[in-house]
Amino acid sequence: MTQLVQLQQVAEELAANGLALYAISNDPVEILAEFAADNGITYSLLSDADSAVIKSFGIMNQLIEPDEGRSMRWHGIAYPGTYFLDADGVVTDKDFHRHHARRSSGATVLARALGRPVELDGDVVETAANDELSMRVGLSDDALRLEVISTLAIDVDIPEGLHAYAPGSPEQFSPLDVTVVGDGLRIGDVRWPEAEQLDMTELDLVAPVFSRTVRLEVPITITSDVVRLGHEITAEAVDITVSVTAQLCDDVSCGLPQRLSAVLSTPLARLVEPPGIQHYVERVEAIEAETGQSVS
Amino acid sequence: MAEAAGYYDEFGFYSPQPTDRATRRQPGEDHPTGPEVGTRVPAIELTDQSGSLVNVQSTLGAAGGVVMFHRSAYW
Repeated sequence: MTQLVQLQQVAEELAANGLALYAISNDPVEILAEFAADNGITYSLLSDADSAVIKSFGIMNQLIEPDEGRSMRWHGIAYPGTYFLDADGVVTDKDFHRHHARRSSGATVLARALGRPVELDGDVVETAANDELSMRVGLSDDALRLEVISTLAIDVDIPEGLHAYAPGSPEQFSPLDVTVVGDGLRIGDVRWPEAEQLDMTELDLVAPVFSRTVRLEVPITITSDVVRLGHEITAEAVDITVSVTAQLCDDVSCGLPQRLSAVLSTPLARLVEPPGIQHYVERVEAIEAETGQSVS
Repeated sequence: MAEAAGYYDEFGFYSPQPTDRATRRQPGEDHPTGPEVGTRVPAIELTDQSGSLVNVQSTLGAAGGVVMFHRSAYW
């Protein structure tokens, strides 16, 4: 249910960019009507009550037996995932995750749908600079939420007239590199922008380089090591440490490789959870407190 | 802090409910993800939250659309 609320936050911007938005499940219409009213959902929540569309896509969850969770309509649910379609209904991109709890944040979906860099939340930004290099680190969302994939963006500013080598450069050059670390985080692969090709005729070499502002993006989530479903959050924020190493060069010579780091203090927030989860956790904890034994 | 009640799945994901519960079973790495990039999706005509019939293919925007399949609005 969290992702439906996350998508509402970007629904208008998707529409303004000519993109319609639909969410499909096997929930009955009455359930969708109640949920939409309670959570202010204005885009289309579509009811595939007999799972006919889910089956036609070939994505019905086969791990649930027909007699399991009948009252909850477990049988017939889809493997959760998102399709990006062009105006002819042709898939241009899709986003599926093996773990059912993992999904992209609204801001991440928006950037992917529009094929453009994420916009940073104004309150979750940090900067760092030395004499030559500066960078801005920020998050696509106002907070990290359990298993919601946000985008960490790193803008590295290279002074005019200088360039940094890109990954894939000949081995004599030190290419731009970035590391991201933090406790309880799951950090994906860095997405690099396209590099320019620098033709160094006197060396008989062509090398990929970056100049001016380079945008690097990294998928990032907080895991249940830190935030747990059904529980209050014990830490208000996590530190994400971003370090960039770069060797800046002009057409004639190169400086020494240098390193720049920033620590982004990132707020944590709870998911919009179904009330049942909270009740379940409270009951289990109460029984355990009473009996002194672990419920399993 | 005492260890909270709960369960951990193969991804290290904490769950307040048993991980063998039907909705917490994990598919394999090759689980189906439906139509591939570059192909047309099957026709979609379904009732929305207001009771209106919506045909996705005929209501896509000028640039297309985003179709998200989720497990349930309620749990």
